[in-house]
Amino acid sequence: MSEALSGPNQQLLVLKVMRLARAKLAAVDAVSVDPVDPAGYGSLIEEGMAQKTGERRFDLPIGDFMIAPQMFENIYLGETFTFYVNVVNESDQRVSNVNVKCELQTASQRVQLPCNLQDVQLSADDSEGQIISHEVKEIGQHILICAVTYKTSTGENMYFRKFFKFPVTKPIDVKTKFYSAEDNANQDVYLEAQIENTSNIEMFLERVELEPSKHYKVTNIKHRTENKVCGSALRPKDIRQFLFCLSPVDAQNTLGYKDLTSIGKLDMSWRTSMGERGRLQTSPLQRIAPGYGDVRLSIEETPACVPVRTPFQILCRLYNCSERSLDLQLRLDQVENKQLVFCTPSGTTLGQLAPSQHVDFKLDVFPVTVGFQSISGIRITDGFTKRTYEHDDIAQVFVS
Amino acid sequence: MLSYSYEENEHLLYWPESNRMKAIKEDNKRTMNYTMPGIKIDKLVTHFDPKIKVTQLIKVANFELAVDATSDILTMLGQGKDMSGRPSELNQFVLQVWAVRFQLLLALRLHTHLLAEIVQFEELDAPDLYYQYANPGKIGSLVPFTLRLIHAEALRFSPFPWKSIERINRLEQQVKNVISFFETSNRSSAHICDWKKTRKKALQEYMQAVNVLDKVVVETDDIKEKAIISQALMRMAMQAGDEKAMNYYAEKIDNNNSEDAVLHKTLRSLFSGCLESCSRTNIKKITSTGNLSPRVVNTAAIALLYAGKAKEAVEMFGKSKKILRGPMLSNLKTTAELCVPAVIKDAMMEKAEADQK
Repeated sequence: MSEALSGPNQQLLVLKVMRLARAKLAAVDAVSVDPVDPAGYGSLIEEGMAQKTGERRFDLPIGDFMIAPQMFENIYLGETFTFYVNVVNESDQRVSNVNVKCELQTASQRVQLPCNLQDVQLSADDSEGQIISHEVKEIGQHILICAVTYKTSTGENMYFRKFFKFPVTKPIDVKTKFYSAEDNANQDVYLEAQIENTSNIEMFLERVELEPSKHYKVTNIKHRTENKVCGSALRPKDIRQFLFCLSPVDAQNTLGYKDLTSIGKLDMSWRTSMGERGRLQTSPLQRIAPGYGDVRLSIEETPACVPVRTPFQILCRLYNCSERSLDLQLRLDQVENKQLVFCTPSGTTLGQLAPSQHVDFKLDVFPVTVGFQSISGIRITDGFTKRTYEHDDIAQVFVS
Repeated sequence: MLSYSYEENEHLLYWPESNRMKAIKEDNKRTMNYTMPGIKIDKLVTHFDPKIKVTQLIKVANFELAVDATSDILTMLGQGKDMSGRPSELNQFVLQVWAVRFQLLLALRLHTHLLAEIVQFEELDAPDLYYQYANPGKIGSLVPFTLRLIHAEALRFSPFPWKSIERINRLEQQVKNVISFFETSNRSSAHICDWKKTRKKALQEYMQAVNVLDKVVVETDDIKEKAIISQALMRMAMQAGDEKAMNYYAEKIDNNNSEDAVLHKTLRSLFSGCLESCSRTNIKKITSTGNLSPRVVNTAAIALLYAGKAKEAVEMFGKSKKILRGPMLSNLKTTAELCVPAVIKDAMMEKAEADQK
């Protein structure tokens, strides 16, 4: 923190600001001691060390004594900036009407911080202060501006300001990837979030949750083998992956795909040394809607295995995902090598379909060849636009 | 204390022969000097009364003077300043003096001095560091086990700290060899125990990892020891920021009203950031007694500072009989700088500094 003084000289008050990052536990200087040392000096030196330092044990890596921060440590986005502001009367006279105003200025805004040091009387050598906290929501240079006004015993109005500059950086970096598991039976989307610790201290991610948008339900896919004692530490530059499965609330997608672009927000909270907390939320995650176009075909029922040369039936459902009515006709293209033959007549009309509505139809299929066969050749034509939508490899059956 | 009987401690002095020792075995003369140490640093304190003994100085925690006392002893034995590289007699007593000296240098954090002097002992494998080299009737090493521990640890403060791990691993292997040798040669169980439970454990604790300490908690039968290590593990978890582990170990700590339990409760409040209520209850509880330890005063003062009561924190330091150097003195300075006029603060610090002497 750097500071600069302004205002008239001969001030009676001094303003002190201390950042209250969490107090740490002091490390202990280990002394190598042979527990069965025939000379016995090890334990004697340990006793001497105990007298000097007040610590009781020197074979353990951590001590009993807390130590308040000695310097202004890094502060990161999402953490809480806590500081102790104090006015000390360095003079031998009484001052009155002491008011302290604290503001935090960033590149984009100036925030007034709540300060109770209002209309305070300070006798000689006395001081008054308070702790102020503010959640850091912006990166970049921050300037804490503390302004002090007071009245001297002779009634003179005094004023001075102090500035404290400090930078705020990003503690974590989030990269997201979407995997669409969507096919004709399932509309799930998987989100992989890669969280990197970009700070220079170890952190413990306590919560990484996906708050889904109203269109999705979310399942957090977790690794089973969690350490039963320790939390999961993320060291500087380490990256951890998290996986979420998102299922549309409206599985039938009556709304169409347009609204499924907004996935939700990632909410992350962590702790660092001595419990310093941080929390960040990403902006809403968006993904490009899958390119199904105007119609989407889903297979509602189909057998998995069928005997050869025995007809079977599949139930299909066709959704109108467009914003206009469609006049639909079903055409079936017989594939050339004819492993599966459609028995349903081609060219049947499915009728007019309003937006977000669906129509069901059945297909009779005759399996000719044994093996794993794929159903292809379904063609849907819209009578209004004369456009044809081709659906191939929509389902597979095993013919035995 | 610097000399002890070989016969009584024979099993503790045993050490497997190094390749260098084995190589000279057939040589009957054994007059060659391999290890020729000499002290490398000047006296730490200018006025030193040579009549005071090392042990007495250590007892009153005057480590600087104790180092100077070892300098005098070593000078008398021909291993003083500028004597490095010159032959002098090596025996159990002189190596014990070096071991104490190194322990003191470590305690005083004089790592550069320590490294400069300990390097003269090479890898602690020279033939003249074995009893059998000059005294065919005795078997073992003149090097105290403490010196071996420091020898491995000292590299942590060198430009190659990773080499420390190599030495520790080697030391651990050698200890294992001794244990298996004792076991196969039907030594008494007390002798084996000294090596197994104490020396091997000293090495493991040195590695200072949570899982090692956790294992120590499981293995130890001493309830008091279990509690102390659990408390240390809880503090280590807090320092790292691991709330889950902190809560895990907190549950293992006796939940009574002892000073330790209340102090650890205070630490947890600091971790969770709810000091306001903590300073009202716990701090009052632990500071109500008349005889306050520096540890209690320090924790209470920090808690008051973080609860927004800087002036009360400064007053709390005043309740301690002595302000100890290190964290406590630095906390007093930080707190006083925040809320006490400069003149009063300076006087306060001067008094605290004077109390150190």
